[in-house]
Amino acid sequence: MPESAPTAEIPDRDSPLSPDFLRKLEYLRVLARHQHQGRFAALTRSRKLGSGIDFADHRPYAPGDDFKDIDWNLYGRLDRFMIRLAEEDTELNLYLLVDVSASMGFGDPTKSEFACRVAAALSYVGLAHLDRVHLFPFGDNLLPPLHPPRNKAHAINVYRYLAAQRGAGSSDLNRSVMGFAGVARTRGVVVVLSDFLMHDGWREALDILRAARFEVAVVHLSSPEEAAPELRGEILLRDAETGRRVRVRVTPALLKRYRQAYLEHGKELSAYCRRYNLFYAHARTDSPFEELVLKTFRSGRLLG
Amino acid sequence: MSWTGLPTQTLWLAAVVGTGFLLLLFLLRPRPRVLLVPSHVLWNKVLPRRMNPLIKELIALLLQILALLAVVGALGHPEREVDPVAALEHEGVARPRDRVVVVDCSASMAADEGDGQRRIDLARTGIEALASGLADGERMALVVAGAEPVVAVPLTDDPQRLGLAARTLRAGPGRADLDGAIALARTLLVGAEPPRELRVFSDGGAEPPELPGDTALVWAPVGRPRPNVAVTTFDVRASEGLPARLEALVGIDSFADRDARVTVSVETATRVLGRAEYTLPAGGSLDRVYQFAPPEEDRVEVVLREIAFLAREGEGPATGDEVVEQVPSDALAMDDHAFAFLPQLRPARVLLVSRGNQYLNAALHLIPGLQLQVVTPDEFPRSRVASGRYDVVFYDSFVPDDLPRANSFFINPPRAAGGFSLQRRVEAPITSDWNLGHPLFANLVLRDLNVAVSGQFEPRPEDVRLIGTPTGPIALAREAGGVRQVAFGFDFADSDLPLRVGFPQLIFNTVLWMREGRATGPPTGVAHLARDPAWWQPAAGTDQVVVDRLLEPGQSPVTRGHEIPAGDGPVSHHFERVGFFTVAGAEDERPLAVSMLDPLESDLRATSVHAEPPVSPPPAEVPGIPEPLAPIWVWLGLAALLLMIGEFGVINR
Repeated sequence: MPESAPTAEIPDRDSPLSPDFLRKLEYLRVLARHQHQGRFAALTRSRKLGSGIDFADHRPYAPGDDFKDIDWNLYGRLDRFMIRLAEEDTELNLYLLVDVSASMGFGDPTKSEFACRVAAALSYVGLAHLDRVHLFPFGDNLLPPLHPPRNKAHAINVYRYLAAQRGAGSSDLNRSVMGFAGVARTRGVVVVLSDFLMHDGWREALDILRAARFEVAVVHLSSPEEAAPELRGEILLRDAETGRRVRVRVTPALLKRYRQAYLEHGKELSAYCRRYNLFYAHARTDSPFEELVLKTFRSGRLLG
Repeated sequence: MSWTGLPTQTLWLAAVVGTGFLLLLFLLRPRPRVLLVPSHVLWNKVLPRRMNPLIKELIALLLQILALLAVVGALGHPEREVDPVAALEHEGVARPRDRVVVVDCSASMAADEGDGQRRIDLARTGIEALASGLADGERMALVVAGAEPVVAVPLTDDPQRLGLAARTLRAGPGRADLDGAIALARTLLVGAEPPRELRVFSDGGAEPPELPGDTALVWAPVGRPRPNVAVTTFDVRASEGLPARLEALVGIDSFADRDARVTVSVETATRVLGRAEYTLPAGGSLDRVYQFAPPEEDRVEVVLREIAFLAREGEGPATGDEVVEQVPSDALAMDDHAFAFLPQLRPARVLLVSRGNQYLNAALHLIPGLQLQVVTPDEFPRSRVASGRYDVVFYDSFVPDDLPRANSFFINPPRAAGGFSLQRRVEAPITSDWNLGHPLFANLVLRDLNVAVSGQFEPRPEDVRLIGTPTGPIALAREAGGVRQVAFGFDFADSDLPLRVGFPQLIFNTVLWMREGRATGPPTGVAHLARDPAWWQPAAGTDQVVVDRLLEPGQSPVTRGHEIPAGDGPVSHHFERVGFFTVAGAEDERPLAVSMLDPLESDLRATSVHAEPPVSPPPAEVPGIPEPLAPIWVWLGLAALLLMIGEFGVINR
């Protein structure tokens, strides 16, 4: 593990995503398990009934309705004017809650950089389908959000904005989510990108998101050093977020217990998501990034 | 408390320097390196509740210093001492100790301990030290645990008498009745006032006896495990065959944890009858039979010579493929010899009663070492036959009126002979069955026998059918009452049997079978094991039985005999040495060959079963007599060990 502060080491690359990868992303779109109602017309099916193509229902004619919406066939059978209603394709709100705390600065590439690329990829998919993308970086509280225009060219801004966030301090997902719930008025898909190493836990935050009827997708990031730390002897472990120190005599038995705790941490998060039918993906920073997006996200029906 | 180990100043110096060194190490202890980790969330789940590291290190330092002090204290060999003032105050009422010493005098106590001293010498030294250390008013007795326990010295305060008795101690060739000796020692302590002590010098084990609460039992183990090779079996007998030879069975056991090389020699005073070198594996045994012609002497001895224990792998200097001999050498010499008297061989004596049978006569003359006497039926020596002079009597077409009791071979009996009843005579009988499993037909195939005319027997249930025809047997054998009889119903001249090449073998087998067990005469001496008492019935009119030791090969004759007073009943004697002995004044005056042949005593690998004194009530405190306490240094060493374990636990917890 690096001994220096891991913050703000994300390189400001102009092209974090290759053109080939971007072309593949254009064939994908963010899948919502439920229909959400957007404000503007777009490519995502919503609960709104209007001028879409797919038939939804009939309703009696009311003055002011457009004549072209009258179902004349039905008038021939019933001798009543009925308006033909169709499902309207509107925009989907995609919220990206990205952890930029100090603990995300570990790994090679760091978890922050990995999260930036994942967020950029998701943003590109969303923006390419005219969905509304909202970026909410968070640390110990919610940081200023970014709402890029509905243009896929702005996906790079998501990456740059996140890369500019200097990760510092601890992460408090609960408080951040409470702030997020206060500002996110429209329901949509919330993707939480974090290592979920929060001293105050993560369960309450996910409960809030579920209660607010958001579709929650959890992307659990970890680095190889977290999974199998290669430590030995007497060591002072300094918490990157809190700065607290703990003196540890690392023995094989202790390492074995740590690895067990690491596995249980992931299993606990995974079990929570499975229980409430949430999308869950565990990504190690040494795993192929494109495979995560193109395979894992697709197999989990986050993208389709 | 007195310090009998290192000088006190040295101890103080060691304690101060050691403590300073530990403090220096504590101050210079390495600090742990700082490592940045993403979060403590996972570590907090696996780390136990921790003690403040500094407190933990200080506790460890304290434990280290205490362990150091315990080791330094142990090196000082502290002993508790009685306050001299208090001892003087109680001197008037203190009772001196009564001690009975039991010393094991079994054969194993003669084992060499490698430095020129035997175990019995070590025990003697200990007894002499106890005797010379007798305080005023203290008494001591000596009980010798030999084959029979004997009170060598009753309770006495005379150290010279005890020392003299100790100097006469000697390890015998037999076992020690240690339990009996302890019981005898207890009887000596019955009248004694406490404090009482029973001290046993032994290299063997015995069950610790139940002692009164105020009697202490001190077990003093003597000796250490030693390698040994011993003769454990030795016997001489006549071999089967004609002429008979002597054969000696020699069994050797190795009681060592390594291979042993030994030369076995069976010899008389003038001749070596057999000699061979063997290598025995660790703990192995060996049985060998040596055959030899009867020597002139009547005594034989087996001796183990040139015993060497071979180095185990990794021991001793490497010398290529050469096996390095390893000291220590064989520890017990007494069991390297065994003695026996030779049985007297006599030739097979055969009587042929015949009017002329050239085939049988020739076949008998072919047998080596045979004393053959040929007589006609008119010259039949009935009385000599009845006296058992002959091993076999061949009756050729003849049966005496009054058949004497002897091993008999009837050929063409004209009438019923020795219980073989003739049924009828048959011409050209067809032989249908042969009892080829009978010793008479050993190594023979006599099928297709042609007989002109033969008598046919009426067999009894005890008869063994040798040659049968469809209508009845024509040859039978019988063994009853210690006498063996064979009957062939036809004359050899009326058959082609003598023309067969196996005919001499048949006669040879007949003599061998009938002579079985009669190849030797009465023994010239008897074998005796040293661990058992010898019993004799005194001859009438004698008042003593004298046992003398005979001349041994390479040794001077023993002139002083052991005289055993004779009474009305039998007398017994335990031999104190091994070898050849004569007996005079007994009804049975046959000499004895006394050997040890005792694996239990020869096994010197394990010494006393009581490595530590058995649990027993401590002796009463006797003020004024400084008693060594329980070895305090042992407890201090143990405490140091426990402290180090505790320190390890504190650091690694």
